[in-house]
Amino acid sequence: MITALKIKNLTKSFGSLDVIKGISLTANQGDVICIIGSSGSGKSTLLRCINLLETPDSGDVWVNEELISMTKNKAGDPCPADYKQVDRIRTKLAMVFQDFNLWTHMTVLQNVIESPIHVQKISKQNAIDRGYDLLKKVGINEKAEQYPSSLSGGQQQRVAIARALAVNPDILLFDEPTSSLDPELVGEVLRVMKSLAKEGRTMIVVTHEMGFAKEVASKVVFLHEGLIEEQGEAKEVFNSPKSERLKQFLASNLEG
Amino acid sequence: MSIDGICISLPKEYLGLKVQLMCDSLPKLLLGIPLTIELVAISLSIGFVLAMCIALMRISGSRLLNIVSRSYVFYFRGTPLLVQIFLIYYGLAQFDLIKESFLWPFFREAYWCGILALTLNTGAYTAEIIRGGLQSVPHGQIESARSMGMSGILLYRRVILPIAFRQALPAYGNEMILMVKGTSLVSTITLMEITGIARHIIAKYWTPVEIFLIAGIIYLFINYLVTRIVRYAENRYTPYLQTNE
Amino acid sequence: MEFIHLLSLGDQGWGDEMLRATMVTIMVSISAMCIGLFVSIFGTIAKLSKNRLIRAIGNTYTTVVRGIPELLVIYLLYFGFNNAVMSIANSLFGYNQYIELPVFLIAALAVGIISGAYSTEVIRGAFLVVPRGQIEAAKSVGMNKFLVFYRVLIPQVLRYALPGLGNVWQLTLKDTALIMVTGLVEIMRQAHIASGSTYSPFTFYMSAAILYLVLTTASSMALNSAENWANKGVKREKA
Repeated sequence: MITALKIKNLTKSFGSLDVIKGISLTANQGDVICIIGSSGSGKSTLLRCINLLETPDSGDVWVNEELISMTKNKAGDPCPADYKQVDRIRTKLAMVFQDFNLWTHMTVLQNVIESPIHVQKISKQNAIDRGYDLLKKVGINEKAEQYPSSLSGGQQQRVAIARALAVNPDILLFDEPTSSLDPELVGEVLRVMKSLAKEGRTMIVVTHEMGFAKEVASKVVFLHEGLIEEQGEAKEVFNSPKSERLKQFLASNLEG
Repeated sequence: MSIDGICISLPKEYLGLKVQLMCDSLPKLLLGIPLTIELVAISLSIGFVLAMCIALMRISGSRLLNIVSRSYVFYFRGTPLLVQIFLIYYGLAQFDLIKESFLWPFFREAYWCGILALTLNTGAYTAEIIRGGLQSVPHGQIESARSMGMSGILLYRRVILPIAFRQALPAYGNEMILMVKGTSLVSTITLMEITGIARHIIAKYWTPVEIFLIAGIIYLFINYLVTRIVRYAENRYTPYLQTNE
Repeated sequence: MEFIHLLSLGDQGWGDEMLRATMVTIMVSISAMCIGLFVSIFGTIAKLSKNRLIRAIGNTYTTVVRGIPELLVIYLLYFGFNNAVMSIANSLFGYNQYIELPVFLIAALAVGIISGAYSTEVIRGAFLVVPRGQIEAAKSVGMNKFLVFYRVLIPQVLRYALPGLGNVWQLTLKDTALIMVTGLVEIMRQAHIASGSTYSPFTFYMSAAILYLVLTTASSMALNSAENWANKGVKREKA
């Protein structure tokens, strides 16, 4: 089996603040890894380092066993050695953001077909056909011609998921996908995510939804202050947490 | 009534930078600063009171007052300041009625015409700035004041106006700079402020680039001071809106 | 009703002259706006540059031009351009006759440089308010720098900049009144000439004011519909 994603000794600091202090993580194909932890524990930064929206200070990332090669710029700061490789790998690593980040100047369908047409150079008709299929999959095909601002948060997030799926990624990164949503809209997004997990997609999910993690995750990782405090199968992590911090965290986050 | 001095013809030959002349003319140009500042200060203060009235007329609820306020702002924001100055200084003299009235000593003077035009102009722009400030007051903050029993003048005086003025401060700073620059136009109706003096010197020595350059630097310096003052006021009254950069 | 006679078309009145002058005002404004937009591309690049010197040049341009009265900038550029061209002609070709550049060109350049400083501020501001997430989303689906710029950044910058550029257009239109000092016969100069020879200054300056009102009103109507068109994606949700 191919390792979908491998991270080794990743560190990242902002100024004097060390956000990630050396994290290693492996995801096999079909894994759904949920990353949990209190705010400020470095969850989102870790995710953003994987597709290089943040440049890690040190450490290596392999996607499909291909190493993202890094180098140093003139100022001595780390930077990608080959930006073409980064762009190519990013289409293997589609990301869903907390604030959706749909492009406001494009319709729902245009958002979905933008990257297939302009990055992957798929013919327009193909992209549109596929775009409609994906929108149907997330249950929003009737809104294809509308602009994002006329949609509810849950609908926007489902469009964002369709946009991420459109580049045919091997791994889906979710950065707190339900944290900006009103409680009654969380369910529709989680349903879509569950169905994706069932299809056997590899997913890395930063989330506060413990119920989702419990039900779907093949592996749960608990971050604390930039380090992995505890990890394991969902059942063991939730039912018999070892570390004191995880116990506290679960006690204050588990919903009925 | 000739204003031919406005039209410029070119010198017959190219004149290089004349440092000596520039140094000599600097003190003369500096003598124009008091009049420039006087014009700005008077028109801004009267204009502000005028603007408050115009803005209040706009939200008064009376249809007539609303239309008057809108037309006033529409006219003075939609036409160049130069037209407004010329209409008052040259235009009104067309009417015998005005020439024979008690107002004539006032409208005969370029100084008062200049101040009137600048005041009416800044009144219109400032009214819009105040209106924008009033509209930007968050509804929730008004409601919370009402829930504590505030209403009417008290509500305006203690909550709405303080918030509105703070919101309007940066825009009003820009308006102050526009007025400093606007005063240069009254040089076209013979007032001897900085630009007027500059044109006077140029008419004598024909060194337009050099003299206008110095005049420009003086204006830059005045506007720099205005910016600093506004900045100070912003830091003092709206620290919560300032970024740390 | 003497003013009807004064403003009539043909040899007797000044109506046709005023209309022709209005055309000149429109042409100068459009040329100046275009020159200004062209200048503002470089102004924006300079002000957003990482190079300190280039950034300082950009900042000096906008600060100086916006801090000096428009009338002075026009005087300075008018004399400055002519002087520069003459000294170049003199030193390169030994030509020392008096050269007068076409006054329309100088007027458009002078107002254009003023307009460009304001456009620069507007476009720079628009660049800074495009939400970072929009760019990150583009990167996350593999767009390279060019695609991010061309497909996501530019359309949004234009949308954010449109209202501001509309204001710059109105400023530019009104600033062209000042170029009467160069002798170019636009609305103000024409009104000035006509009132001088008819002794009816109010009639003609009032006509000038009305012509400017027509121009500014027509442009703000056009700009409103342009904004509605550009905002098609961001209309507020009906709550």
